[in-house]
Amino acid sequence: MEVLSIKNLSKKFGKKLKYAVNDANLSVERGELLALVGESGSGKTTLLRLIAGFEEADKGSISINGVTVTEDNFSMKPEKRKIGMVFQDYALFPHLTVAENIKFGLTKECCDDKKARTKEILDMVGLNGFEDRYPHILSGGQQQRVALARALAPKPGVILLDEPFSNLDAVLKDQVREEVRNIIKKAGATALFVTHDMRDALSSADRIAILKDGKIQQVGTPRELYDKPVNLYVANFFGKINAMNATAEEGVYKLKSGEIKGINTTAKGQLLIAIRPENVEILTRKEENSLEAKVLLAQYFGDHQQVHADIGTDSHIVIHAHEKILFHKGDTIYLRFNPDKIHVLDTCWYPGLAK
Amino acid sequence: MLKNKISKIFKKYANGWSIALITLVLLIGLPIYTLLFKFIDGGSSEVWNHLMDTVLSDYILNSIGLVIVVSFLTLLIGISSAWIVSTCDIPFRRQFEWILILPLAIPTYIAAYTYAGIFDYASPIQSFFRNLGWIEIAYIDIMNFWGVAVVMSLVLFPYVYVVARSSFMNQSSTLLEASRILGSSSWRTFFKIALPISRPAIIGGVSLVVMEVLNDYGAVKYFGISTFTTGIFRAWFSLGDPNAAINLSGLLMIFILLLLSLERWQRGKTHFDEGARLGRKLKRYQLKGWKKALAFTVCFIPLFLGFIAPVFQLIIWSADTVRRVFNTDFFMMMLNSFGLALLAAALCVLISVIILYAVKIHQNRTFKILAKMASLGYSIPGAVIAIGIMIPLLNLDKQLIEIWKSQFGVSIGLIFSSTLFALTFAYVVRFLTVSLNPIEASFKKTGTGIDEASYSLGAGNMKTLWKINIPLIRSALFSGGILVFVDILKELPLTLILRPFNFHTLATKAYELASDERVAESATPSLIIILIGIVPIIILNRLMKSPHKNGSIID
Repeated sequence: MEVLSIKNLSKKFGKKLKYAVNDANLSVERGELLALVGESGSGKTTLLRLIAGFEEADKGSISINGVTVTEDNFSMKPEKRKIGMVFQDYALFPHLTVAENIKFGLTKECCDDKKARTKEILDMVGLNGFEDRYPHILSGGQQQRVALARALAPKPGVILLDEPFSNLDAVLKDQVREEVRNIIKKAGATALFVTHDMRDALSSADRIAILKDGKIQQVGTPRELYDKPVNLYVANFFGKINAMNATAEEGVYKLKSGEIKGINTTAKGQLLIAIRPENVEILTRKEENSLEAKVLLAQYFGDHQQVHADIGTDSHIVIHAHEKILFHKGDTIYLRFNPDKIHVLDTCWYPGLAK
Repeated sequence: MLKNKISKIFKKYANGWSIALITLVLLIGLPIYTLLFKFIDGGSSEVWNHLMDTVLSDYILNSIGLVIVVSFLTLLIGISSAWIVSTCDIPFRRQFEWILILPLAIPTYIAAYTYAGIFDYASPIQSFFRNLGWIEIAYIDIMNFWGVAVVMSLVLFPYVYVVARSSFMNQSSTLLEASRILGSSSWRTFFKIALPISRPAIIGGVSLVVMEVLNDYGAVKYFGISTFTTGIFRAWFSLGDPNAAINLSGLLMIFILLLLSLERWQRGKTHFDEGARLGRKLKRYQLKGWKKALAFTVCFIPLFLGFIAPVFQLIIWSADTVRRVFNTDFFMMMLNSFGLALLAAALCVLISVIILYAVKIHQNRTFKILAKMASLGYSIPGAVIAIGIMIPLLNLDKQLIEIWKSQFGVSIGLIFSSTLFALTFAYVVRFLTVSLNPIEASFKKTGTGIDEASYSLGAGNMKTLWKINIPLIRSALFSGGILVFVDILKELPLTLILRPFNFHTLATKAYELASDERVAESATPSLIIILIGIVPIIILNRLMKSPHKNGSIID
C-alpha cells in the first residue's frame, strides 16, 4: 500500500530561475525505507521540508496515508501532518530529559499510555535506563537513537530523516546505519531519508531515489540502479562506468574500433552504451568477440588491478581485472565485453558526454 | 629554590603592563572598596538612625517593588513582541525587527517628564477626554508608583526584546521545527520549548533592566517616588550627612551584587549549552484575519508608546521653544557636554586596551579576574559610584589643603572633588565595561598566534600592540568609544552629584528645565540626547545579533 505519494511537485525559491524541486513524482510503500540521494544543492532537503510542511510547494500534491496534505493553494500545517522527523542536528530539546523528549509528541495519550509507550520505544532503541539523562551527556549515536525514538513514539504515518548519518564519525557510521535500519524495521515504520552519501543509501535503504537539479532521475532497488542506471549521472554515482557511442544493428553493437556480438536487443541506430569495469574481461590473446587495446595505466590494488586501456578512437576503458598476471603500460591486450551486462543509457542527460 | 622561583615569577610579571593593569584596576575599584569598607565599618549617625526608623522601609519597598513590576512588564512586552517578530509573518516584520529597539534611546528620566506632560491636566489628551464629557474619569493620574513603573517599562523593554529575539531566531530554529512536527501548537511550542531554552538569555536581559531601574534617579524623583537613589540624594544634599549616604549606597550595592551573583548562578545551573545551532531560516506562522491584526498590534503598541508618542510630543514642544532655548549659552553647554563625554570615552578606550593587552600578554588567571573586577562599575548605580568617589577625594582635598596651609600659609580650593576630574574619573569607573566588552571580543578574535609571530620577528610588546593589534581591532575601539560616549551623554544621577558648580551637560540641563516646570523647554536637549542615542543602538544591535562572536574571554 502506498503511504506517501508525491505528484508533480515543484518548488522555486524567490526569484531564482532554477527550480529547487522540479516536477517530482515519488511513491513510498508501507514499511519501506527509501533513500533520497543527491549532491548538495540537488533539492533533496527541500523535498523533505516540503513533505514536512516547512516549505510550501508551488505546484503538485503530496498525500500521506491517503490524506492530501499539499495541493494547489492548500498546505496543511506541519503540526497536523502526523509526520515524524529526525533532524540533522537531532534537535533534541536540551532542557528535557530523554524520557521527556520522547513523551513530548505523545499529546493524545493519557498518562499511563505515555509511560508504557516511552518504555516500549526506549526498549526498541536500546536506551533503557537512560530515561532521566539529559541529551548533552549522551554520545552522538545515542543522541541519534533518542531523536529516532522521539520521532517514532507517536506512530507517525511516515518518518523523515535529514542526513541522519552526517554528524557521525566514520567508525560509528557503519554500526549506526545498521542500527537505524533495524529500529525502523522493528517499529514497522515507513521512512524516507536524505543523504549525499551513496554508501548510506546502499547499506540501509530498500529503494533509492536519485535526485539531480531538483529532478528525480531514477527510483529503484540498489541492484536495479547499479545494473540498469538510466543515465550517466546515476551510473556514476556507483563508481566507474565505461560509456561508449555505438550503432545498434541486429544482435550487434558497432563501435568505431570493432563490434560486440551476441547482443539481445531490438534497438536500432545511434546509442550510448555502458558497461561496468568488472564486466570487461582481459585476454592476452586475440579471441572471438574481443577488441584489441593498449594499456595506458595499470594500478595494483591487491585484490584487483585497475587497468586503463585505449581501444582506439572511441574512448578509454577502465577494467577491474582479477587475473594473476600484472599488466604494464604499453602492453597489448584484448577486451571482451560481457554482452548481457551492457545496457543503454539515456542520452538526454549530459549530452556533451555522449561523444 | 623558593627564592629562585619567586625571582622567576617576579621577572615574568614585573613589567610595565602588569603594573599598569594592577594600578588601573585598583583605581577603578576605589569607589567600590571605599563604600564596602565604610559600610562594614558601620559609620552611624543621627540622620541614619532617623532614616532607618522612618523612610528606609519605604526606600526598600519602592525600589524592590519597582524592580518587580518593571521586570514583569518588560518581560511581558519584550518576550511577546520578540516571539511575534521572530516566528510570525506580520506586516513590516523586517522593519519591526530593529525599530522595536528604538525605545532604548530614550532615557527613563526623559520618558518620565514627557509622559507627565502628555497626561498633564492641561494636555490635549486630558482636554479631549474632558470635552467628551467624561469629567469624572477624565483625569488620568499617572504621577504615582504604577505610572513610573509603566513609563520605565515602555523604554526599557528592548533589553528583553533584543536577547529574546536573538535567542528565538538563532538558537532554537530546528528545535521549534522539531516541536511543530511532533504535533505542538504554537502556544505549546512557545511555553514548552522556546521559553525554557531562552530563559538564561532572557534573564540576562532583564537583569540589565533591573540595573537601569535601580540606577534611575530622574524618573522616580519626577514622579515623587522615594527609592534608594532619591534617598542617597536626599542624604547627601538636603541632609548633608555623608554617613547616611554611604550606608544607603552600601546597602544598595550589596543588594545589586547579590542580584548579580544570582544571575550568574542561574546561568551556571543550566545544563545545556546555548551554542548556536544549525541556522536555517525559520518557517514562520502564517497568520490571517484578526490574529494577524492582534499580532501586529502587540508589536505596534510598545513601539508607539515607547518611542513614537514621546518623541512626537517632544518634537511639538521643541518646535515651540527651540528659539528661546537654543542660544549661545546652550551651544556652549552642548560643546562642554560633548567634549567631556569624548574625553571620558577616549580614556575608557585607552584603559580598556591597556588592561586587555596586559591580560593578553600574560594569559594569567589572576589577571583575568583582575580585569573582570574592573568591569563591575556598570552594574552599580551612578549615585552610588558618585558617593564612593566623593568620599576619598574629599578626604584627599582636605589633607592637601591643610598641608598647603601649614607649608605656605595660603588656602587653596578643592582640587579633585567637585571638579571635572572627579566627574571624568566617575564616568570611567561606571562605563569602562561598555568599551571593555567589544574591545575584548575583538582582541580575542585576533588570537595570540599573531603576537607570537610578531615577537619572533623581533618586535616588542609595544610595537606588537601598535603595529599589529590596534589596526586589527580598530573598529571595536571605535564602536566601544561611541557606546561610552552616548552613555555618558545620557547619564544623569552621577553627573548631578559630581558636576562642578554651575556646570551642565545636556542631561542635567534637560532634567533641570523639566524639574523647573519648563518641560517644553527641556524638549530640545532631550531630543538631541535621543537622536544621538539612536546611533549606538544600531551598533549594539549588530553586536547582540552575534552574541557568540562577541563573548568575553575573561568570563
